[in-house]
Amino acid sequence: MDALRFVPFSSAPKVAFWQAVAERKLRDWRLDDAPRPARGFYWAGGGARLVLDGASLRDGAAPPGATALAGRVTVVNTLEAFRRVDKAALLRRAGDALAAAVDDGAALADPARLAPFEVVAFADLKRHAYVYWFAFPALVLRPAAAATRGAPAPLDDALGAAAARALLAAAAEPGAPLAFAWTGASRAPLREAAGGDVFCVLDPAAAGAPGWPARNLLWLLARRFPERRAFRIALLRGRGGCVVEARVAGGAAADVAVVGWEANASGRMAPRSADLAPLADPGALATAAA
Amino acid sequence: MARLLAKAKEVREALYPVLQQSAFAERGVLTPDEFVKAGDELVGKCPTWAWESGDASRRKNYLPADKQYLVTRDVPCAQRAKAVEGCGEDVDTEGDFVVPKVTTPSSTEAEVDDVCASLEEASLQVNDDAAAPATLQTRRYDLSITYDKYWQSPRMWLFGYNEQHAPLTQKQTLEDIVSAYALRTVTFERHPHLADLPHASIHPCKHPQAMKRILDQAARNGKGVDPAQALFFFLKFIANMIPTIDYDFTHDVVAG
Repeated sequence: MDALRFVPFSSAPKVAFWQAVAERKLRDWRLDDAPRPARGFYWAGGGARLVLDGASLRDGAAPPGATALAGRVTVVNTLEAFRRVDKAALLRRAGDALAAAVDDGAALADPARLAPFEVVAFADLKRHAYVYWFAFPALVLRPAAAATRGAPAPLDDALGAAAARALLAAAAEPGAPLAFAWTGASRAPLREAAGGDVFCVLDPAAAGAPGWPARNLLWLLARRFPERRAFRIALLRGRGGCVVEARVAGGAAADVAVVGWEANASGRMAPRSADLAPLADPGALATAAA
Repeated sequence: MARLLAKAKEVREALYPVLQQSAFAERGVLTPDEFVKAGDELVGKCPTWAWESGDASRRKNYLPADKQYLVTRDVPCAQRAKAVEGCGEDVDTEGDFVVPKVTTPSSTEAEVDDVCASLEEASLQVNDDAAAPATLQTRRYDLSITYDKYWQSPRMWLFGYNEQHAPLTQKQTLEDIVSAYALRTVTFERHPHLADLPHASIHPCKHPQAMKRILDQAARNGKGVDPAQALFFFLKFIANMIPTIDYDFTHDVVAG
């Protein structure tokens, strides 16, 4: 049996996010480099991208159709401080908080807690240049879960057309929870679910393997239903979806390992950068405005 | 100078009267009310499009506060426009043979990533057998449609990101617009609601004529066109200019 693989998020911070960071850094945060709450958005079936934009540092409604995730952004003051941030320890703390949220029921009440994110950034405000690194903490099952059936079954085949329609409609409702259960007859909040239910997740991956939120959902299920060896997870992806069966060999350990720093575009463990200087240059518009 | 011109255009737009009477059938133009109805129709049929209220200080009083412009975000754009344009200028001649020109992928990465490379932390690399290989990324565009009071027409704005999610330069953005249009009808300007960010815009001066041609064609086929359908036609002819930007206008519109 092959290990069940999950598609990691790709970070997608918009220019408007960096503009909001710059404004808050200058006006409110100044030299204080404490972590700040931030929101990221993804669209079910949208290709496993986590978008941060101008709304990420504000309260208010999520963009239409988007699922909002709560994370933290830490904006340090120098490149040297960026280098000094203990990335392993930061991820470890995020993982511990996630495991605690599973155990104390917070993640059952608010399933968006299953997909936290961290950003460490250095904002060179004079040069309009940003260096940043995202982490998407995931708790590691050992041994890894396995997919019990070859290809994921289309939603209609696995659950019937009526249930498939109802689940996709539920997933499309504004403010729909990131994960919930299907009892075979009706929807239920995650905290009322039984181990034999089908667990539904708003899945950011467009096709194929499940996206990152399903990974921590599976860890939660293994932890909450230690006697069960297999779970059915429905991946709801906007206009369609599928069901995967995940087999777990053992329970989720309390002394859990955490993974999740995002590799850069070349696949190396290094930060990424955004150079907004060309956009800030008043001359850049000169040819255009005529 | 550029600022003066931009300012002059703002003044012109501010002074120009709002179109009150429908002239859609005669001239292919839209009143603000018709724009809102067409926008509602688009949002209803294609949920990836949504209304935005924008910044209060930039609000246009001839449009409802919560329906100032339309957006669709993070639209994939997997290949450059010339890939679907046929050969065109994109060939080299070698003796008697015509061979496609080999284009090297644009790389803006190298210059900025020295800093990032110096911050690499190989110790964070873990062997994670539950992680799928990273998804192949494509260029992505944020698109918006505003109402242009002067041209009495919808107007398309584009802002793109490359595969590494860095903002596209103007030159790179032009690669996603069919070359026949790229230099003639695309300008880079302040977005009316997102002024801090220069956007590419497809200039609307020819839009009413394009719309009128569609209406005339429909009339010849004995069909009328409801102005509420206007944005579907608009998006359809815009798609000819940006054929690889894969936005949703899947509602079937038939006008012969």
